[in-house]
Amino acid sequence: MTNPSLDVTGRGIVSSLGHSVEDFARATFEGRSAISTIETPGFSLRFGNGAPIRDFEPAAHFDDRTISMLDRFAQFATVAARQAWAESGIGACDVDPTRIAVVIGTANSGIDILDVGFRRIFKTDSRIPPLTIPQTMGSAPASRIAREIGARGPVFGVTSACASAAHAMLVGASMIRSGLVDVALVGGTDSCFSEGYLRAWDALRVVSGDTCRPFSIGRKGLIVGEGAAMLVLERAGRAAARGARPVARLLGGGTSSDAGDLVAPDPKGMELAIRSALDDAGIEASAIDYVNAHGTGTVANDRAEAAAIRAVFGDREEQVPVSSTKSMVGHSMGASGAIEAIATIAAIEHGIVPPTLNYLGPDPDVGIDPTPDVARPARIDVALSNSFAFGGLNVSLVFGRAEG
Amino acid sequence: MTDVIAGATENLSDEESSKIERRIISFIQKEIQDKSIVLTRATRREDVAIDSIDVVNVVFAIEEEFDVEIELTPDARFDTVGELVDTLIRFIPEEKRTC
Repeated sequence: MTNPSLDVTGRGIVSSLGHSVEDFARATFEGRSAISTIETPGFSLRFGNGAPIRDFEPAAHFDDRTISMLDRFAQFATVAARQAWAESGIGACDVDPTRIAVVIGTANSGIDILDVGFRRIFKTDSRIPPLTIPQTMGSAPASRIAREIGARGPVFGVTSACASAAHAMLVGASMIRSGLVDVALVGGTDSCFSEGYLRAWDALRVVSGDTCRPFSIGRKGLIVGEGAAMLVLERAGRAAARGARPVARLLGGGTSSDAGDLVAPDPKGMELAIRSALDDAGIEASAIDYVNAHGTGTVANDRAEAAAIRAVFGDREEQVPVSSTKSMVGHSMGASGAIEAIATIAAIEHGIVPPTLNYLGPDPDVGIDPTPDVARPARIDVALSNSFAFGGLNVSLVFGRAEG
Repeated sequence: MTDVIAGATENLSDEESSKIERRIISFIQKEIQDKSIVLTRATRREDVAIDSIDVVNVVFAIEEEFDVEIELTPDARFDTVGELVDTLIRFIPEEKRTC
């Protein structure tokens, strides 16, 4: 049985390719890259490139007191949520506050303030900032956003590494479908350029020494990114009733667990998530016009994800176009699913398949069309967005063109 | 509260006392949310809406500045800025009050 779809009525984003949906979407279509040399003062890494957000000014969005209470990831989330809520046009009298949910994914929680605190404790044995605890909380973005929009329903954070935002979107959608709430502000956020965090990734040796080349021959790993993105989901028909026009529909989603390795991906788990999403949306694989891949640029992920995509879509006459937003903004960890949802919706809205950058040529182990380097015009009515996390936690979401 | 803080600055000369007070007041001034209010000793707590977060931030700033430990809970009671200033000064050794 097909589950009811939901309207997406608001979007917001803070990314290394812009702090508005319009700027970000244009950059993805133009194939611009935010990946460049990163500064590592006083420490060295095996990799030298990343995609940090270089132009985020907290003072432009918050007063000093609020800044002292919100770690960087919560600041990103709040700014993105303000955009999404504004685009939704939901006014104070449009929804019962107890029927608004806020569910925000994060892989890292308040890792910047932890870095500051641990440096003080272990290097200089000095005091740590008094609001360290509330800043570290993974639920801090959800609490702050709830305060700003007046959400008094279910409000919490979720975490599933790089699928955190996608799980948050799916949980919010499920709460609307179940009748628990009418509106859900959902998404993900992460800040990823503290010294400790970069050194931890360095230790894992999966970060590329050059750049991010998803699905390409010669790919060497992921590139660290960061940011936040948010969606406002509503029960279908609510927006039209108040005269607002949805920007897209969330047709369905699927999730699965590999029940396997903590870092090695399993194509079967990925395939299960994709098939579950198609079933949930009540569509066949042939209805998917574009796949926004998880596409990290690691040898293992891209090989496994390509195998899953071939397993689901392989019997089509023409290959389904696939691309990876991470080739432009790097891997934004717990935010990536939401950032890529924004890219997916933009692709539907504008009829453009965004490219995968830095492609050197086909890898015989991959066998999919990653839309190398240049965007392609295409009619996209329905698109799939994948988020496949370490620990074998997989989510696929199906977005569709807004009705009307 | 007043009896606790009585005599906090009695051993200092007028000049030293006012100097340390001015510094402490400047720390509080930085934390209050309504920047248009200019704090004095007589400013009443309810007129500037100083809350527990402000107090904890002020305590941290003074601990950092003077390298002292201040045993003051965020819910400490005081009615005026002067009372808070006197309480905070008590935790600063006299030799540090002039630096």
